[in-house]
Amino acid sequence: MKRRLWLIPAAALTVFLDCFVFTGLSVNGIRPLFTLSLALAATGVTKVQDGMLIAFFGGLLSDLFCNPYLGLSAAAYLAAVTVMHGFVRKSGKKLWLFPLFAAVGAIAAETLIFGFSVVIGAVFDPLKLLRTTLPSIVLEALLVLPLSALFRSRIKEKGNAFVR
Amino acid sequence: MRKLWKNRPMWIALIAIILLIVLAAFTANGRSGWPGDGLFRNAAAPVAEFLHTLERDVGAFFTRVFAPSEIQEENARLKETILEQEQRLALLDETEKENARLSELLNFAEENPNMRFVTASVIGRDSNPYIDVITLNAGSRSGVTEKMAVITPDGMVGRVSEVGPNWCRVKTMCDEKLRVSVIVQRTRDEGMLGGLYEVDGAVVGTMLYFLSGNADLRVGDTIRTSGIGGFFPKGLYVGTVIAVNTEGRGTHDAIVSMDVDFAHLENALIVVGVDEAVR
Repeated sequence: MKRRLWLIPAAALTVFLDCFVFTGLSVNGIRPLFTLSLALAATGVTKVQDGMLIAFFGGLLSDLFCNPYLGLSAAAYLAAVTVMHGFVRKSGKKLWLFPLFAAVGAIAAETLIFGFSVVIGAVFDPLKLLRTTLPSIVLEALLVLPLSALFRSRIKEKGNAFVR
Repeated sequence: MRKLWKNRPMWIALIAIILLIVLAAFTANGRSGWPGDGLFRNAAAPVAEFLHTLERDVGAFFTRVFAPSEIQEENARLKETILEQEQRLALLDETEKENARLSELLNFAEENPNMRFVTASVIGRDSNPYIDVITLNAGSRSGVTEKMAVITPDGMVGRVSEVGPNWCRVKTMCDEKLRVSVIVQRTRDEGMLGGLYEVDGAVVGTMLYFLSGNADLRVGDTIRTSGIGGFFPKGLYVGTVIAVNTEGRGTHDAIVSMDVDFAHLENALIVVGVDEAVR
């Protein structure tokens, strides 16, 4: 557990980027969820527990600071991590496949958020899904590649103890 | 299926997801009723404020870096506004200066009630550095005729040499051939003014001739028109003596300064009538 502690400030940093930096940079609402990408990269490269830790703390922090529904992002990120984990378990840790798995995970997360929103009375807007959500998912999936490379370089530095 | 049951992280995740969704559902109608929320928000407020400041600064930085077109557009708009304001200021400044000039002319006219003036603006001048002829925007329609005197509060400008319906040309004091009968105000000695006095090509004043032999002329004496000849009304300020010829009779007796800035003259008074009693 001790070796995973650094993941919490890392998650907090990505939450800061999501809530306070990317919102300012978003074009027509298109912006990646950096926390989600980090959780997915961690799931792919190290262990699913790392991804879950980032997803849970990052999601909760994100909800506390910049979302109206407490726990929704955390749930969505956990869903994405679970989906990614399922794929990685089947196909092995092939870096080039990560963006694809991440995209499916991100779709799962967005579906959960979207479903919840519709249940509580949000208006279904297919154009918004097409114009903003889809490009955001692509960005999230692409972000997984450099983040995965970052995790891998850290594994090389720390050795197997980092993973185990 | 057995394998699935053994996948502990997945089950933990699923349970967590369900619990979190339930939590989200509880906060769907707002988090204000949630007991821990107020406490958390109070504690988080300073952090949020700090983060908001950071967001603004970081956002502004990225906007500058990644969206220079917006900055350029804003810059262009501001430049346009500045240019507009500068033009307005220039116009205001110009109006103010014109107002000052015309006020000066008006004061001069009021100080000389025996004369009737027509105020005119310079609308043309020779391209020579020291101008001999200028064109004013007043002519016969305003009562201007040839040989009328043109003056400013700073002194004599010249004499009208040509008149059109709404313009006139004025031969200035810089003209070598123009002669004006003058008087030394302090001693009442009479003389004739005309011709430029130049030193190393630079005009320093006009020459004063034909003073009586025993005239007591001093530097600083004021020279005014004498009224003799009928062209220039009596008593108009011409200039002051800046040098006296002490080497006996020669080409001139003294040098008189010209205070009128011919190169930058913009307004002048044309003397269209003089009270005969004074004349």
